[in-house]
Amino acid sequence: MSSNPYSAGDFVWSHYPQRENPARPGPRHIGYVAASVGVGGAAVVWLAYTTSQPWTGTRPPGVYSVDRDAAAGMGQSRPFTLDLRRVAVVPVAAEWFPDLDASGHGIVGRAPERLRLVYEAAVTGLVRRHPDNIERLGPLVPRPRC
Amino acid sequence: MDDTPHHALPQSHDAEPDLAPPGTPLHIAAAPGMLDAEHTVDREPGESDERYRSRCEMVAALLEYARRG
Repeated sequence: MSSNPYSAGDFVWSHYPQRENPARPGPRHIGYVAASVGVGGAAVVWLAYTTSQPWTGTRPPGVYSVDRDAAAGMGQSRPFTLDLRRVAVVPVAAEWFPDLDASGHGIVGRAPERLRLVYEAAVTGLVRRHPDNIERLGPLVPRPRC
Repeated sequence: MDDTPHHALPQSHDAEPDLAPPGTPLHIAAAPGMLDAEHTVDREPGESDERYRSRCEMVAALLEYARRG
């Protein structure tokens, strides 16, 4: 398998894809590693979206606001919002992770175990009960079935 | 259902303006069908059986979702 330094729970610099071009690398952006798996001889990450923009209004399932203190504990200087409904499925490659080959691999922090459990349960719940709420980006798709 | 459609997050709010250059090769990316291959989940150091199973269940749920298209 390709070398994969990313584990579920990591916050990592990525070239997170934009909606306008979902299969291509986008600007540098911190993503949350929801899942990290081996696929054949390669490594693939399911990367959830983060933003420092505060959420306004009622948060739907899968959206979490992280305050300044908690953010600092995860290596980030500002409060942020984690949106587990928006996920990019991307290969572990420098095209998608600009600091892959650097020391630390672009990992800025890691969610504590307590929150990883919460986020895991949320992801599982979303894909099983509210799949229509998920916005999927990234180049990796299943083979079309006839 | 998402009952807050008017609160969608802005696009790449805190992105840095260094887009990947056009024509960046997507080696593995050009592999439709890749998610059909067998998946493996590495066990993390010190991870309990229960935690590992839980994580695998989440990955299985993701794959089931992905393969539904």
